[in-house]
Amino acid sequence: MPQLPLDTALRSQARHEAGTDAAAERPAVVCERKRVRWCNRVAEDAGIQPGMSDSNAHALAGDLLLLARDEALEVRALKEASLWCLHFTPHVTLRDTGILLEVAPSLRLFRGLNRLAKQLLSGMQELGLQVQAACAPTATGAWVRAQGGDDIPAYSPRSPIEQLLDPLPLWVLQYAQPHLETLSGIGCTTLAQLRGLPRKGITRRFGSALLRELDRAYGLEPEVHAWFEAPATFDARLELLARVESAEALLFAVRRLLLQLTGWLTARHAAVTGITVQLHHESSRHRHGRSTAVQLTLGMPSRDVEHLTLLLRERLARLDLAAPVIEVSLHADQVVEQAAPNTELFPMPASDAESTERLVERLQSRLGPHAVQQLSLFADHRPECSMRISTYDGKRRQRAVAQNGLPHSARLRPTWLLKEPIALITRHHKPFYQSPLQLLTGAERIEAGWWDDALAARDYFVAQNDRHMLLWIFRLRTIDESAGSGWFLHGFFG
Amino acid sequence: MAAVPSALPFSAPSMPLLPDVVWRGDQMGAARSTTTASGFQALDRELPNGGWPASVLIELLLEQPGVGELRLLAPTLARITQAGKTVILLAPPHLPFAAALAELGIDLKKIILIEADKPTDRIWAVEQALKSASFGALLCWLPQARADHLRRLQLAAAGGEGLSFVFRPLAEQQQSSPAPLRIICKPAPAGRLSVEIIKRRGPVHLQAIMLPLAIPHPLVKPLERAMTRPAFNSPSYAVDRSALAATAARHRAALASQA
Repeated sequence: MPQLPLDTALRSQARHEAGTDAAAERPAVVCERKRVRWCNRVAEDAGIQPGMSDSNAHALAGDLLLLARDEALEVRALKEASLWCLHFTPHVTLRDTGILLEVAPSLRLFRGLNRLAKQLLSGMQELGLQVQAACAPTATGAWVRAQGGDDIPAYSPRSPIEQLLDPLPLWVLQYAQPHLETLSGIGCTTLAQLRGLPRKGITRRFGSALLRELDRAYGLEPEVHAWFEAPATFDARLELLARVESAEALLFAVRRLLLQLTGWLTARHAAVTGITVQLHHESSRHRHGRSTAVQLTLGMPSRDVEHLTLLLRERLARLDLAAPVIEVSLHADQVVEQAAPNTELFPMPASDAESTERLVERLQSRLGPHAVQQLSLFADHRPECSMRISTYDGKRRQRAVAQNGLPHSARLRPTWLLKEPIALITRHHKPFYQSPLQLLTGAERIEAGWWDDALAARDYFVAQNDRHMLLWIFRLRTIDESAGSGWFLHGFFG
Repeated sequence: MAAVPSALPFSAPSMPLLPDVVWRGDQMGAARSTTTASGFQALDRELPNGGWPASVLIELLLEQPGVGELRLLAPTLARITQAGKTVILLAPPHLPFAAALAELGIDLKKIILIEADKPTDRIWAVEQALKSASFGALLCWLPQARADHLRRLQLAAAGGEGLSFVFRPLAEQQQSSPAPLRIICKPAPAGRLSVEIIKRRGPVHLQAIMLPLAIPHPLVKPLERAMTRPAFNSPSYAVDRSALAATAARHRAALASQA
């Protein structure tokens, strides 16, 4: 980096990544070549330390969980974490045990380092990763601070880099590892003391790599990063730790995938309009490797993780699982390019159209896509055919709905139409609804529909009952035995 | 103790300076909320701030759907849809007839119908709609809603800026309700609507207001005539076909016996 950009380094120890949840309460260690390399807090409390032999560790804790190291899994976990990190900055670098982010240009957007760090870390926690985060004006500086653990000097944007790095112990430096004993032998235990040694001597005794690392940490030498690039398509999967039988419990896993998805979308300046969640079921003797697909189609492109979570929660709550789920995968089906939304100078109520679309999506996700409808006119004389009730479609709604125009607008029409006409009884040869009906108008004959087997031949009247309700009733022109009196109630002037 | 009356922070004449803070029992509600004119002057006069209040529940109590509630709201809905805002009809009891709504000036493109059969789904949908605050007016039919449901909805409504009308059966009149405005609607002669405000932010209002609702033009004269004439004297348009059929059958039988 040519200038000294402010960096946040983030070390995500991908140790026993697959076991974090199940093993939270149990001592767990990861061994390499019969030696304990990493141990969790419970194991530490039991007295286990890195460097012990595995049998020694077993002796200290009976229910010890011994895990093998899986480097491929670690790399995958790091990639997942970096997808989440893309939320915050496009400049993400992967290292073998951590991630470096350049956040200086993003501080304004996220309103300060503290808020950014809080969001970043909460996402990491949801991904199931334990992190040790630190920041410094240089990338290597941030990296060594993160290695330092908890007892590092607090960061403030104005403090000089010497103040941030000088008190750190030497073991944070990667290239100092082979020489730690020699260095402590000559009374050199902190970075400040190492800097005090003659440079030529350091190069001769400990190699030039150590000096270069030191210079980079203090910003005396430029460094070059290979930025992490988001893949061209998004397809992520997550193996569940246990067999999950309730659909709602899946939401937890799905949310992890959504966090990655939205990070990927942010980096590509895109938004999704359709995603598919595949639930892979446990294969048994009879049923082999089946899966359920949950497709989610959105009316408006979105990359809001909360919105997507809410929609999926409603979808999953309605789902009946055929078999326990052991793996979940998420695929972005339809991706569109979309710039980041502008924030408004003055806080305004959310723009009407956009929030309506969101409401519709939310309602459709629980009530089903056909529960949200819109009205349009249709040129037909039969009242039940003179309007179309169709599933809501935001795009079509923009176009003129009533292309047929108003067919017979000046006619007498009620505001409520019954879904099915109600047959009326007659008393003294008069139609009766709560009371004898008084006909107010002469008949309006509607005779249409011979072309589509729904012939309607009716005489319509407006009637009033003695509660002063205005009703729209009709009498069939031809009365057969099944039609009763032939009088029907078809609407209210409500 | 003698100093107590003068120790009051304000005297009566200074009251008008604090219109939002101090409410007196004989005044109409505070001028804080925005209102939308109902389109009926007689009604606006009796509503706090002269119109339908926004961001609260407005409860309309009806004996049954079809008494004139849509014609009551038509002027408001017409103005809202023409201003480009959405009107949501949530679980209406019957189909809203598109041609009649268009006739009343309501823009059909701005209307969204939502079907929800289960009562829990209805409440959920209403709450979501209220929270999203993305509508100009929300009309929902909640025949089975309990008071605690309504309280939840009333809280959710506070965040939005639209009008929220809840239609409930007349029998709920005696139950308490958190809605700050409750109105009984009853049909009246000549296609009018009798409106009784049983709860409002203001003094008690007892008299029913007669509102001349929009009546389709061809109905005006017949309705006037119907007022002056009792129902039973009107001529019957019904032809008693069964009686005719019986007469014809008797006649045929007589002919047959003669032969």
